Amino acid sequence: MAGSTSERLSTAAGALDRAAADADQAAGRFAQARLESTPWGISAPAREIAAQWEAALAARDVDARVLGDATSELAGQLRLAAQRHHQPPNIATALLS
Amino acid sequence: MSFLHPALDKAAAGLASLGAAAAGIRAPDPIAALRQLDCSPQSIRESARTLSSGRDVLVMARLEFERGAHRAERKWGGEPAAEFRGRADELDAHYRQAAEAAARTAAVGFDLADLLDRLANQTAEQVLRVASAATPAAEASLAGDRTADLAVREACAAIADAVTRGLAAIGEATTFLEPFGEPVLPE
Repeated sequence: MAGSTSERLSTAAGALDRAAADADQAAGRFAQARLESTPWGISAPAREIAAQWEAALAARDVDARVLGDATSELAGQLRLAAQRHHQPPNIATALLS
Repeated sequence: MSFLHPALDKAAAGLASLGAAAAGIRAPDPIAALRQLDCSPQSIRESARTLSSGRDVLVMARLEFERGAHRAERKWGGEPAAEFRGRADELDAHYRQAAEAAARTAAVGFDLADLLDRLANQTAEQVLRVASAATPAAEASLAGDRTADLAVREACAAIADAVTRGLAAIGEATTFLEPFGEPVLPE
């Protein structure tokens, strides 16, 4: 039944929206983990590790944001598909089917 | 200025007379040497814990994503469904990769915090031993006994060596985070 598929796809899109929001929240946590002071130390190797830690946190932040964006995009595609299933067939599609 | 690490802070306090004697004869400052190793493993662990909690949220996101994708895939056919399935499978794999990278990054953060803690504690112990053994010489040097100066210099050199060994160990750890500096997902 077209209606039930539409409903299912809309519900699925809602779940994907929540997943995208969670991914964004994860990105926020990764950004929050950044250190403002210099707990690694002031020596050259300690400063190098500090820079690597910052880079690693930034990379995790980017990963989570990429996931959030891609998930939102997929949710949008599901909504479009849901709308298409919801629309009553016009004469042309009725004749073709 | 106090130290971030409690063991190093205690060691620095124990270096007061040796430091004063060193300053009097222009020997290398043992407290300044010790400061090279100062760190806050506690803050690093806190950061790694926050990172780890972000990873947990990412795992929740993946579970919600899987629920939604399975729901959509049920009784849905045709080209759009196949396209969605392909994209959803790819994203699911990306969620796993990102969560794995976050977990491994956090684990390295905890390991590095432990390493710094261990080095700080070990060096603090060594420094306190040296400072304790050199106390009579430091006091004599401060009182003007120039025959004690050599022992003060040797104690300062021993402390500098202990710090150098600690810094070398930190230097070896600079490779630990190298694999995690780039995003694992294509933008």
